[in-house]
Amino acid sequence: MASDLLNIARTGVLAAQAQLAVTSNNITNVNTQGYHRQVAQQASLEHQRLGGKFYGTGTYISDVKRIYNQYAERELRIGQSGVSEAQATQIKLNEMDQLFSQIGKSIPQGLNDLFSGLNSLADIPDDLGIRGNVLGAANQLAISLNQMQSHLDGQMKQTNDQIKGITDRINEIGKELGHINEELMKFQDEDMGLLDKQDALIQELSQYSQVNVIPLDTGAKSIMLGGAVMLVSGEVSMSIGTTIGDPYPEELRVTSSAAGITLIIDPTQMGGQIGALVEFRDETLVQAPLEIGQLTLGVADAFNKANAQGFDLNGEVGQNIFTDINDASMSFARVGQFSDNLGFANLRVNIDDTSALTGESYELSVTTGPATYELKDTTTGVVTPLTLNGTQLDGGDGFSIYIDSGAFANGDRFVIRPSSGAAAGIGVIMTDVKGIAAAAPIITADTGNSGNTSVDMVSIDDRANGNFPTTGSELTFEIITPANTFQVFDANGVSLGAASGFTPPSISAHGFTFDVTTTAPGTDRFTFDLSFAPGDNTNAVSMAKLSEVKLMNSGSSTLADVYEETNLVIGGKAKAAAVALGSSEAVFSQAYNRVQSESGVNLDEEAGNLIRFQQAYQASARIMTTATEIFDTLFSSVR
Amino acid sequence: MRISTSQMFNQSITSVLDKQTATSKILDQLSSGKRVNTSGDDPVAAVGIDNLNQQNALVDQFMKNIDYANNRLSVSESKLGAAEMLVSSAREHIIRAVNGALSPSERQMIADELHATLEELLAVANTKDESGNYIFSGYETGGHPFAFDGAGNMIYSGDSGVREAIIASGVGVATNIAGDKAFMNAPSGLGDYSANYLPSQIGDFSVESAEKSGVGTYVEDTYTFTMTGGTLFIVGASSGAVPPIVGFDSTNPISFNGLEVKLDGMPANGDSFSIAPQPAVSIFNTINQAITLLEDPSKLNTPQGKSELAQILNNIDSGVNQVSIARGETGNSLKSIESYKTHHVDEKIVNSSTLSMLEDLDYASAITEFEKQQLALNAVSSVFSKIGSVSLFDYI
Repeated sequence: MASDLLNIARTGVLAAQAQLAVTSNNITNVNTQGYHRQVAQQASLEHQRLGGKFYGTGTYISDVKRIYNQYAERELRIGQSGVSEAQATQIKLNEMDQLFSQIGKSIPQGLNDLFSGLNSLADIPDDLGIRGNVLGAANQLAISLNQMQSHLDGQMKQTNDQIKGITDRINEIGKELGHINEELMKFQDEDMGLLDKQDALIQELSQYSQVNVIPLDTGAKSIMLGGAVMLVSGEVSMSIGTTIGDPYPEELRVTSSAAGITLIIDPTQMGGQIGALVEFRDETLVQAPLEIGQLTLGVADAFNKANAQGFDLNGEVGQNIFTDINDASMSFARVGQFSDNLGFANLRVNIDDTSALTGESYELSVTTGPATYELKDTTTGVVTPLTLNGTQLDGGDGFSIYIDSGAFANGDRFVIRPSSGAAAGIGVIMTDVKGIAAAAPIITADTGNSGNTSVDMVSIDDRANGNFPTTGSELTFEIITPANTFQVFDANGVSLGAASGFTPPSISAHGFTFDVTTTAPGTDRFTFDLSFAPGDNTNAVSMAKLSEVKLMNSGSSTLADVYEETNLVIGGKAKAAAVALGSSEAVFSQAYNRVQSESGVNLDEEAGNLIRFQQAYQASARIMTTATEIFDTLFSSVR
Repeated sequence: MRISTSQMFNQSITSVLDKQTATSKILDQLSSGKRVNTSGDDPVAAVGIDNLNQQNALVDQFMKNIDYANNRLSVSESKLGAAEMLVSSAREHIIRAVNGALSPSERQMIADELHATLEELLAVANTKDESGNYIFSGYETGGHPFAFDGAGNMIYSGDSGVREAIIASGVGVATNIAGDKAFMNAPSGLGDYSANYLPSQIGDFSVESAEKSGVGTYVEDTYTFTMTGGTLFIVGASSGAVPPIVGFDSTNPISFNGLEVKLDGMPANGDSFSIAPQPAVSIFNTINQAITLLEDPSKLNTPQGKSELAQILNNIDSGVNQVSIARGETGNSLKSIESYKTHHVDEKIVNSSTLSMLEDLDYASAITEFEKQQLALNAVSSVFSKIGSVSLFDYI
């Protein structure tokens, strides 16, 4: 029996040693990422039957268990994806909010400065210094718009780089997880170290995307990103990547490759950082420049048109201050052609009415036979049929699409962004400060006019012309649009000759040229007084009044309002993102606490265990000495 | 519940970080003095803030425009004030000259004084502003507006342009008085015509008024009146003779061709005079005529001279009126912009106080909040250090 005692003591010492080893391992891994605390499970050895009685024979370590709750872990991964997505969104929108609220302030400021300059010009219309200030303010405004666009372009580049970086990291993790699976499959038993490593990787992966884990034998795990993209299947890992966008190359698309086949995937379904970044890019970063572009087109159009209404300091009809809104540098960039189009139509978009612009993105779909052209607003989903007049598709919100060359094929699709590129393309093209038209001609429409016809000055050709209309000797043009003829009467109503024909839209007579625009033919009369004097501020006042005119969004917003509306939308999104971040953080911390409370190492607990197992060891050792002593007693008694 | 060590540390660190973030946010607000720094801070308030800021920018612009207008109008007003004094003094000189007892040399002296007055008036009318633009020339600010031609007639080479300044939403105010309005287009003292008297005149009479009466069809023409016996013959230069008035009595107005002519005094037999259309006279021409009349040593005492003087006095009264009206107009504009300015100042006060409610920081509550956060931060830190320093390992 005494020999048994020694044996029992031996099992106790060994078990205590193992317990101490597990405890020590827990203590030393307290800060290891992905580490799950381990517990050695002790059981008593088989009992022996002696003389009809069962006697215990000691103890042994039956198992070293890793405390792991897969449900809690799953929740933690979901929480991680949620919080990472919310965080990425919040950081991006916060940057945008700062950009629009602080740097972007220079745009409405620039607009106000320009109006302020025009008011000063109204005070002294012929002062070259003030004219210089006005042109300077216009230039500053254009630069502010350019800069805003380049900041947004920078954001686009940075976001794309992040997306690329994330796909790279996802691929690395995928490869590693494949290796781990391979290792795990080699052994019958679970390798807890590898499992912890695997867990840490999956946890990191769930920052980038939502992760779906499919457990296999012996701890190996197949991984899906989101609900559809396979990343790791057993020991085989697939990869995701990026490819240029279609039709806009800078809007990178995410791909998934397996077995030589590459598919385009929708990363917004994947959640996590990659979902957040792509969604931010597509929803906010693509939209914001379009709205800045809408403002830009409004500014350029309003001031160019207003300037054309007046006379500059040389007495000539005012020319464009800003780049023309339908300049070829901008009009072609408003169309994006999908790469799978079969036709070779080369399109361009002309803005006809800046007040009807929406700042949205559209998709044009072409069906041939019967030829239909459908324009879909990609935000609202509203579909508008367009009509083809010659080479021009009419019916867009303030714009028309021109087929410059080539022809459509059935099923061709185009992305139409009417305000795209405007903020980058705008500039002040007026170089001569005398070019600002502060003075204005007096063109009066007869009270009996139909209201369907309007006239716009084109040029002053010869002020020395004998009949040139000035105050007191005005000229009245009777324009008969059905016949395209006109007759001129002097101030006393005397005809200056029989009616003569003209080629629409221009009429050139008596030293000046003007354009006639009509929506319904008829006979209309306009009286011209084109006298010019340098002190005339009529047009400067009209231009200064533009600050209050609701020129944009079908007459509901002033120019400055357009910027503010965009700024507020961004601000609202930033605020919502901050709120969403708060709630997802709460979800995450709950899941984290649950996992930690089960699987985390508590040093105090381990310290207790250390003492406990040390004592157990000491006690087992004491059994040994007891056994020896029993022997000694026995020997000495028989001696 | 079982708490893991890293959970404990994590919790403490998260609390400290949270408190630090809150503190830094408050510090940001304290340093800028604004509760809303970006529209993301409070999108709802940001709507109001943006609108109010834009409104304030507009009001500022209006106030600046009012300053411009005030500057222009004040200069015009003071110049017109000077002109008014000069014109009144010219009128007094002429009335002094009416005195038949004056010797020719005394009259010449008056004429010389009138000359000086006229020069001064011309200088006033040709005043330039600080940037070298003529203030009484309408839009033609670059060209000398008032000059006598060779025949001694005043030629106005400006126009009737009136510059506007926007002083409130949809409200414009004229910032200049066109020269023709102040100095050129005084209504003729007689109404719509001016009279021409002949040296041969014997009777002591003058045309008191010659106006369109609106009765009958008006025929514009130069009419010559001739008194023969008791009958007044009237002949239009192009429209021909009108029925003569037999037994003419100057107390009754003469009505013909839509015209009504009143005489003061009775023409003598054989007297003749004519009237020509002239609805407006220039004060410069009137003074110039007065000078010519005074410089003619004999004419003033003749019936013709007296009649002409009567017309000149009528015209100069009208001219004085004209300048006064122009001056009154600037005065009214000045008053009205002053009242708009008061509105704007009020509006700005209201806007600014609303703006301040929306975006400005309540320092008392911010500082209280700051103290609160500091206290919490202190508490968390000290608890953290206590928890961190207690370990069972210290006891084994």
